[in-house]
Amino acid sequence: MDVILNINNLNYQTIFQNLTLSLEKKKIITIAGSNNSGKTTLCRILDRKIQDSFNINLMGKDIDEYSLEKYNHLLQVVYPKEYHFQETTPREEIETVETLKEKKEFIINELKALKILEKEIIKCSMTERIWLQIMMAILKSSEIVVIDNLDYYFDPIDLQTFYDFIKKCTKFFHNSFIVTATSLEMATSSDVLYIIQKGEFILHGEPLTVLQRDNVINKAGLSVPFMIDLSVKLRDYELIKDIELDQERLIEALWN
Amino acid sequence: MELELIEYPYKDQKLSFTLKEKEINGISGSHLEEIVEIIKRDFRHRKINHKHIKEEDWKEIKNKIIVVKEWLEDTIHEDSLYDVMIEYMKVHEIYPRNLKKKIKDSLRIVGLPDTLLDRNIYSLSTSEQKLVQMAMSLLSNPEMMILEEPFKVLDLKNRKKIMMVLRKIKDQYKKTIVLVSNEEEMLLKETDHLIIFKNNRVLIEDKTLDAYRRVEFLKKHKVEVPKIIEFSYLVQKNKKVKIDYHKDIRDIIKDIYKHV
Repeated sequence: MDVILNINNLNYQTIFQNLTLSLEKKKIITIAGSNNSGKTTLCRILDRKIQDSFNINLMGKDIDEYSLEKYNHLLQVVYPKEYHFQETTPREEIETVETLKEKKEFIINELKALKILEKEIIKCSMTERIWLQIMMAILKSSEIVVIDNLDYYFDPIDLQTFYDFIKKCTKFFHNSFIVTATSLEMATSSDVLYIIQKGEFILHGEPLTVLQRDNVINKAGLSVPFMIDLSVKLRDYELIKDIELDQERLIEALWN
Repeated sequence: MELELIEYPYKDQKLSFTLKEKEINGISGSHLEEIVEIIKRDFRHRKINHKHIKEEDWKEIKNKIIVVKEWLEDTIHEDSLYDVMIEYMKVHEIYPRNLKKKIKDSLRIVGLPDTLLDRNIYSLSTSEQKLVQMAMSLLSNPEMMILEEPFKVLDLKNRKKIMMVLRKIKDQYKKTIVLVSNEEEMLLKETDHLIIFKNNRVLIEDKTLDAYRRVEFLKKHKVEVPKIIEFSYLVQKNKKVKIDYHKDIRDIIKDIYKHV
């Protein structure tokens, strides 16, 4: 187990009570919670925009021991709509970042696929700017990228593309990701799922296991994705034995 | 207000659809921003409450159709909520006799306390900001409210709260509600009448459940189908079992229990 980020018993004002989280290298964590559950505050703490005597450890060192410049090379946080591009096109923008050649080439290819590499940023749609914003964070950070409020950025249909993309980044460049969201639709695409309620992690673990706690999740103000909800309820009625996410296989299990 | 577009010229196509009075209408598909823009564009090729419109009447009618944008920031920038609402009234040329009362009444309709008026608009929660947008749209006493992605980033509790307010606005204040979104599950659950746009034309216009029942047709045109509908469709197709199409998971479970 290669833990690169540890949050230990985080307490902050009345928002957090003993919040503990660990992130392993090359893993994706989703933190899901209702509005005002503390997700953005946690991102701001990780970004060192909120400072206090926190016990947060990044790669074996307290985060305050890093200079801000060094810290930003290790961890980047992306917030909704807080983008500040300096150049005219995405290609020019990425040229401003010093990083691995292969990583830059990978991002260039992704931007080409999105057909925005040479497009003027001011003419880019909001979704295109968001893609650029995320890719810039990945370029700048050698270790962790935190993306706050994922639902803000993408329609449900684009979320699969997003998770496929960050999975490639974990594989090729060993990046780790923390993603916060109010929707659980894509939670099974992450490695670990944390459910936050009123500043407290009430559940965490392998996403499919966590998502089966439908009563707790509903009480936290979140909806369980349809197939898991259906499977759990059918299992409770003893109509099936195991949770099944694939519709056709679930139908087979019911009528065979 | 019922608004009917009749063969409206749009990108080499002719668009015809109806936004129904006293119903919650849903609009889904591609180029939705343009579609919303077309609804308010001009007086031609349309009927309001079954009557053609004269050019001289259009400005007044157009002001009765209000679009609630996806984000508050896209609408206006000011300090306190009170300032924002005053600015909104200036921009929309709304001059009520009792300005403060008008503002407080609109907040009351959406369930917000007038104590929020002194607060900075950006200190409000996401759901409060959405309710403020709805309250502002009510200031001009609209007949039709078009809401772009009204539930984005909102949790279950806040979605229910917003939907409850919208139903109240529709039922008690007789407004036509239009939800513009690509959240198919939400549209299935919350709307009565659905229009799906694809490739610059109306692909389907029907009662929402009937529109989504046409699974093969929707899939052929690469339109997302709500999972609860897709499940019934697959049961019928693969097992020849007559599971009905449902909006609520509890109903489909009852149906499965009967047929298993």
